[in-house]
Amino acid sequence: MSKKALMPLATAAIVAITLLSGCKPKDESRALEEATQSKGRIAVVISTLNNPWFVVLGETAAERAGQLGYEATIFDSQNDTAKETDHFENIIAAGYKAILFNPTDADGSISNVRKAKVAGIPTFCMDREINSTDAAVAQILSDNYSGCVKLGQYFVEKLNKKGAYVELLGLVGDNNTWNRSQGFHSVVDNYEDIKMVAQQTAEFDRNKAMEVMESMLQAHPNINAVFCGNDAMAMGAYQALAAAGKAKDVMVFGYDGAKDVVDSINDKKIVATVMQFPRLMAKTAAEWADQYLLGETSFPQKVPVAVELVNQENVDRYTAYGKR
Amino acid sequence: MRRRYKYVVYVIVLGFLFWRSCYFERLDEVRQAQEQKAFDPAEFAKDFWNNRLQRNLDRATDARMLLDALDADVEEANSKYGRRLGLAGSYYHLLAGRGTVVSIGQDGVLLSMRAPESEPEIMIITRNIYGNAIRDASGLINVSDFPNSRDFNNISEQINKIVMNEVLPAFRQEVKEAVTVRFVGAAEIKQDQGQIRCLPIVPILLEIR
Repeated sequence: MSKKALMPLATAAIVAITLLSGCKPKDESRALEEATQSKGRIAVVISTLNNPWFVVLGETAAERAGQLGYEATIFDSQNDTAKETDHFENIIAAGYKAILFNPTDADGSISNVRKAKVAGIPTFCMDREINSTDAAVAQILSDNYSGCVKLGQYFVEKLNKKGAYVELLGLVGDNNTWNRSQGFHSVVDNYEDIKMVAQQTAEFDRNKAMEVMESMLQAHPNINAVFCGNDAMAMGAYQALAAAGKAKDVMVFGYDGAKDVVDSINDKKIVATVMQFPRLMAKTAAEWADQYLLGETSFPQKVPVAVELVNQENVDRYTAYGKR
Repeated sequence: MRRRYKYVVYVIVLGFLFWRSCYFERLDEVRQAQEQKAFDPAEFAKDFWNNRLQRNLDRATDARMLLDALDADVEEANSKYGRRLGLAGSYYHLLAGRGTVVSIGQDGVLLSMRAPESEPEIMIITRNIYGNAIRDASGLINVSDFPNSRDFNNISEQINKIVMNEVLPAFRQEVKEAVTVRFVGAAEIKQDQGQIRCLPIVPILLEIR
């Protein structure tokens, strides 16, 4: 074969080798770039980070969103609907792809979710509800009513069907407050020898609960139990009772499954709580947001998540914010 | 003297103003009253009970078949015959059967579905009824239809009241040991529930034969 005849073959071989060797690294680098490149930003808006339970909810949502390829930012509304509105305005202006949302107020937060919807940003509610079925894509919520039915039955059993108690309510604008209270009263109010002598809000806050409990104890020094709408308030109430030397006389019941209350049940200081599963709710919200952004559109509007009674008999099966 | 009258008048006026301007109400009752203006759970429950639920009782699973299936595999029986609400750990079942009264206790009436001498397998709850067993076992009410979940929960309370006021009083009066009872009811069964010795059910229909 002459040199002239070999030339086109050699040229073709060089071109083919160049293309093959050149393409492969380019494809690999693109794939690598796509894998590491963010799919966009997801906002995690939390009612308050002043309560460890909500910190777990927010951090889990952000972490799961991160694992799914998004850059997640946590916003703290500090239980203030105005601050929450500011966050939503900033989130819309900054072009976030989705919002994982723990609302401050069942009614007051609806307009924020609607604004995000108009801007094309889907919102997924976690743990707390908004009173609307057409604003958020989905709402993943603890079944608080059922949890407090179970807690109420246990409360009646521990009080042996008679005694006086006080109730510390959460935020009055939050449906969780009322679903918990309602579930509890649906049981306890059937026993005429069990009397509620006072009911007051302590806004889900440990310090406020301590103050409210102190004043309640002055007015009602002979109570047998206190039912608290969350664990932060249960800890505050317990502190007030301990300071008054009544920790052993008054049974404290909480709600959440927070670390300090699970530890206190283990130490036989607090009688019972209801375990919610914030990590499950947060992960589900992040995963659904991802599915939505990938094109899935069919989600149930409201999704109750089961809760479980934790007491001194079964506490060994549980750890903070979940099961062992 | 005049000054004393003046003070008395002040006290009376202030007392009157205080009396007319301050009153105390339970927070949960005020809230409930406000919500009931928009949605009437009693009316909803009554309509559900009389019209939708009664028409669907023939969909109830045969109680003996369900108990056998639960004995074999709780998870499989739950997913085959039960209904689950959201991400729940419990399933709710609508079930029907016939059994002989073995004993009558404070909390319920125990029935045996195999022979009068055998262990009871069903407990008809006859004390206070709580929870969502009938609402959720029926599969006829969807939580996503309710903007406020409190309305959804209020329905359960009203359904439970119907059971306590309309189903149980006559039954409690007439039931005796050894009689046969035909029942339709709802039961909650947890996924991690161990062996079921005697299944408690919330009754919907009770007939003494």
